Amino acid sequence: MLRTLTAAFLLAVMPSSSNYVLHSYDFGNGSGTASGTTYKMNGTVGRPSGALSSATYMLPAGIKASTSVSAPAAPTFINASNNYDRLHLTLATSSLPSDTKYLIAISSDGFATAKYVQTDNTIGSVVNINNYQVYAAWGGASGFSILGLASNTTYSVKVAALQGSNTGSGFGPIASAATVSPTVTLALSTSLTSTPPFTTTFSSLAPGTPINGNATLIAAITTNAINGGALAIYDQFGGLKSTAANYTLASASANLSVAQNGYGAQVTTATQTSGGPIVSASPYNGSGNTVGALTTSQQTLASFSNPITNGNITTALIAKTDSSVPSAGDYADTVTLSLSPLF
Amino acid sequence: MLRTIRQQNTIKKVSFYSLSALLAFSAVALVIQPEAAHAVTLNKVLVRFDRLQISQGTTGTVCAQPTSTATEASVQVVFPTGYTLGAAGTFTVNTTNLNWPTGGTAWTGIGTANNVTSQTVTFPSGDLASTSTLYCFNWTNTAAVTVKSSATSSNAGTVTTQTSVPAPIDTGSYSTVSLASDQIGVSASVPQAFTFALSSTTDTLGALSTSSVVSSSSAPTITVNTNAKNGWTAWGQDANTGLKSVSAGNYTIASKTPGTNSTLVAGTEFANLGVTTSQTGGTGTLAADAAFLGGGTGKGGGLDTTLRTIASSNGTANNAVLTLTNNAVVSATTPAATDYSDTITMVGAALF
Repeated sequence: MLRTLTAAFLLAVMPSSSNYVLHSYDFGNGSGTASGTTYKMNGTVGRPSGALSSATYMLPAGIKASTSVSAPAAPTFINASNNYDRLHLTLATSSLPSDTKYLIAISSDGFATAKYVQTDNTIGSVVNINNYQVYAAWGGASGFSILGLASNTTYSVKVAALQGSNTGSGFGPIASAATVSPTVTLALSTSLTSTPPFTTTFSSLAPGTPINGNATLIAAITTNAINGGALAIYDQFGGLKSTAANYTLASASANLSVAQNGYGAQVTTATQTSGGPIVSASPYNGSGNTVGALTTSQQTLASFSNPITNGNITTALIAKTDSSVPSAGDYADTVTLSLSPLF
Repeated sequence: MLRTIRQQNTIKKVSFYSLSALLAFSAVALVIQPEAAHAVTLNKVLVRFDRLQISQGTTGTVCAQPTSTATEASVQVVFPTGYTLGAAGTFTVNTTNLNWPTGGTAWTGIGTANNVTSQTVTFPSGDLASTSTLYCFNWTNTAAVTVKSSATSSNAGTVTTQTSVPAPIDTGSYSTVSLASDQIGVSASVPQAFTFALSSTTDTLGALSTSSVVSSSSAPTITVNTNAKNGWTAWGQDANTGLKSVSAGNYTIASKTPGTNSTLVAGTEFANLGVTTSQTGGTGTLAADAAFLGGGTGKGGGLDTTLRTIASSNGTANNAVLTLTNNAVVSATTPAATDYSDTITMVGAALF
């Protein structure tokens, strides 16, 4: 590949780099050393991004350096929070001067190929003086998260230093860590059973009094979705429907202590072991007999903005009739829950 | 000899330049050598399945926030293993905001899928111009995706945007669940209810006159509440078919034409009952029976000892009110007495 590209450029391109321009050139059969009685030339061919070195010097990647500093020790590199798209890195300063700048290389193939951590903490191919940042800029003792990583992948990192007037080191020892896969669990149950079919019953909706269904709905959620997620609810009829009476007790957002009749849902508890937190969404976040409407399209029952462990959302259904609601024994509805983690 | 040296110098110069050129060109070549195509991780990704229950067909929503600025031409959604996919044509789409995440914006140029291969569905896409926008679309046909047949967690898939080549641009992994049941059945019973309440049990008309019709000053009411879907009826009857005075030798100011609506006239001796109605709510249409329809001075119908319909409704009633106005007028020959009276009985029943 290199030979092919080199041949192409000889035909078409004035060779140059950021450090030199070759104004005239020709083919030759020179080797690594050319010498005569009055001169001697030593040359080396290599990748600028590699550790160009000899017994007496090492050239850091991406810049023109003059002399060497000690390579930093391996950084602390971990998956701090069961993450699927980021890993946490804390530099080891190895007693280097406080004005030392650091370049972080990262690879998922053992450095057969490499990328570099950019100033926005993502990874990319760009490597130049801007990729070198002081310890504090890389998060200091707290470190920082390298972002935009692939899930379920082991990454290796190594760090090079630059100090003073472009006095640089090669890369230090490698540290490795792995992202996990995106995960989500959802368990539905009611206060009466954890085994489907799940039901809740209003045994007698006598006019005039708000009544709770005999079972509450419980959703247990755990996910490492970095952007959290939402639990949504929707129903089949937009109310309690009786075929015998040809009538639907419409669901509406209301305070059933005041409204003549109605039917809806209320989140009664929203908790978690860690993460989140879960927040019940309006209009389901009422108290007493205040309910939010159930509709045939998804409505957010509760949401969370961060990964969550053992999130628990309990929802009650409340209904009230008045004399305008025909008597019948077959009022029914089907409520569906849906979870959408945002990874 | 001198010539030889110049030749040697020439050769060495060529070699030096060659080596330098090779070094330079190698460096240049290495710097600009293009990398192999490599997708960057999407900023955000979401795939929402509207049904999570095993073996259920489902619609859903796909959202993605790009990281790169390359021009998208398609998006591939890889569904989890075990999910059954329909033909490409079943993956019809729209960009109606169906409770999308906050900031969700219509996916530019999204179209019906044009390829389904194994678990991968390819949708044509327009360019997602902003890396700070969460683009969303819905697939709208339940025949497109069927949830796997077992209940499991962390069912994995990916979303990848592609160029027109196609080459991957950005990719993100998502996870979902499949449940034994994602639904709760709700049932309810509304028991039969009927209330029929008189506001008072007396109605004193006072002194009757030949010159004008005397009507109830505080007309009694009947309030009905019922959830009988087929409605209800109220009936009335009286004991004397009019106002009877025992002291006057059982003289009776007669109910005028029982069963027929009429209006009393001053100086012409008769009595009747006028009914007017109102209702706060309910499905029923409430109406006074034509024979007893009131609403004007002396207007109504005569009661007798037979239960006669005074009002009815064809549905439920929430605070239905019947106002009962008794009317009477005497003539110059009506015997004077202070004990003219009647007893009216009102009955109601609902049809469930």
